[in-house]
Amino acid sequence: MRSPSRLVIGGAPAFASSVPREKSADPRQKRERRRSFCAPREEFCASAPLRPLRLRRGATLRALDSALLLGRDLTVERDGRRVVDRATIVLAEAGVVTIAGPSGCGKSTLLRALATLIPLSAGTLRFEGRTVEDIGVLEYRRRVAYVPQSPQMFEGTVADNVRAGPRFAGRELGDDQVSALVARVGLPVELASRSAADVSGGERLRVALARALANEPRVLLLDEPTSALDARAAGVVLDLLLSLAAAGTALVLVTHVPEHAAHLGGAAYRMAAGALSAEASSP
Amino acid sequence: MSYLEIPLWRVAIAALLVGVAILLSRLARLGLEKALGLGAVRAAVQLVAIGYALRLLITSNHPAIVALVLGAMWAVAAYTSAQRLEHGPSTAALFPYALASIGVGALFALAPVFLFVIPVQSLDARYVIPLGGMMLSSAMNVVALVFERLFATAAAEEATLEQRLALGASPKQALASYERAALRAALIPTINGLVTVGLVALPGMMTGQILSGVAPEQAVRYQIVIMYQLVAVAAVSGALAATFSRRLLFTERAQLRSWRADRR
Repeated sequence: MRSPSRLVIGGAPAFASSVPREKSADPRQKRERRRSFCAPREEFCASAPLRPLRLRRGATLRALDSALLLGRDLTVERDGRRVVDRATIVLAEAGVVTIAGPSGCGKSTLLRALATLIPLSAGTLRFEGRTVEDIGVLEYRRRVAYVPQSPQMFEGTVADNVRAGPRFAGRELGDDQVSALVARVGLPVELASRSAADVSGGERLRVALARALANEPRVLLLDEPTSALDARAAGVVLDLLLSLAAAGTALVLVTHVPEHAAHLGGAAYRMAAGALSAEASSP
Repeated sequence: MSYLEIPLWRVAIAALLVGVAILLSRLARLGLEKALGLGAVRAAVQLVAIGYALRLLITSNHPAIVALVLGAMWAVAAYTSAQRLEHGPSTAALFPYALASIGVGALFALAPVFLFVIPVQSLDARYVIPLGGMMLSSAMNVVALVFERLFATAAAEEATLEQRLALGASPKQALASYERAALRAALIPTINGLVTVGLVALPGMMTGQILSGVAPEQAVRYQIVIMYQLVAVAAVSGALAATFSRRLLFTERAQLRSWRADRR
């Protein structure tokens, strides 16, 4: 049973250029590497059979090994229906990946699966080459932060919200650290002492971003961060995301607005009816 | 016997009190006449039946039978507390957890009392059945409250819970504030009972003992012991029910379980 998989490699420009072309690698070595993606003890791996990888764009398995975040053949089923169908996604160090597609195509579900918030029925998920089991699911979530489409504010002040993540890990942020985070997402520092319940819709997303950044994640998974914003506010948020990416935070952004995806650049994926594919390479 | 025996015809006079309620219901067009009448008959039949059962139980006083009756009460309490959850697992899935929460709580309150406070010879039905019944029914209410409240809150606050998890919270940390609120709510009736006993409510067992000729100061001591037992039952059963709820709400990989999807 050797069905070909639709593995597609997409990376940020930095990633793509760093991929060495190694077409004449020893086939036995290759097989060994493939096996390492799906060690049988992983539960996240579930029952996904080992399939031969067909690589496009000259990327190699070594590129996958060095990927910061690698989701391979990720499948999510709900009520017997495949919401995400064998999606493979590669995110490079400090890279940017955008996933566009119509609403209901499964892109938000894919993002929540990458955040380990919903169970996978098949597929493997690796961060820095390690499985979620190896890292520990709570630690994984601190490194791979997830910001939902409409973030809920926790009880207390904006500062309490920003402190929440480190507090779960037993670490207390100082006032200056909170102020720095609030400023980093472009909010006035005075906002920190305000009740989070009084924060406006547009500010909520930024508070949620500051809250996610407080854990010092290496990856940000963002679900339609610009959906509730007008064009001007969306532009500000996109610029903020670009500055985060420039500072070394890798981004996976789900959006239904193609211009927003283009604005961020990086590798563009399209999702339709649960299937993920690389968009025709952007100029 | 130092108490007035009630012949059946006098019980019938008391039934006139229900007649008053039925009359009021008709006058005010509440439509409750049938429910009141049937309820009154049902209460009488159930109580007469349990009266004969208790008579058999107390005269035979066989430990195995006493244990069997306690077991049945325990099962009914667990079944009842696992019912009527709008958001949450089915009664069948919840039943074993209800059984454990109620059982451990009741045992925790009953064992030391029967060992050290009211030292009974083996399973003496006259003591074990009424005290056991009180603990089981109190545990039942506390467990039902904790289940109902935690599963309802988790369904309503799903987004917040998930965002706490996404920030690296353990299920325990994510649920902590809701768990505290549920436990507080479940303990309030017991605490209110402690505070108002003797002022507002004269507990049934104490009144009964006094009516049957027990010296009031002795009846009061029994009641004090019972009140303290009820506190222990509420705390232990409630905390266990909360822990079990948490296990049912999250998967082993700290993901929220969607009960609504599962029930369809």
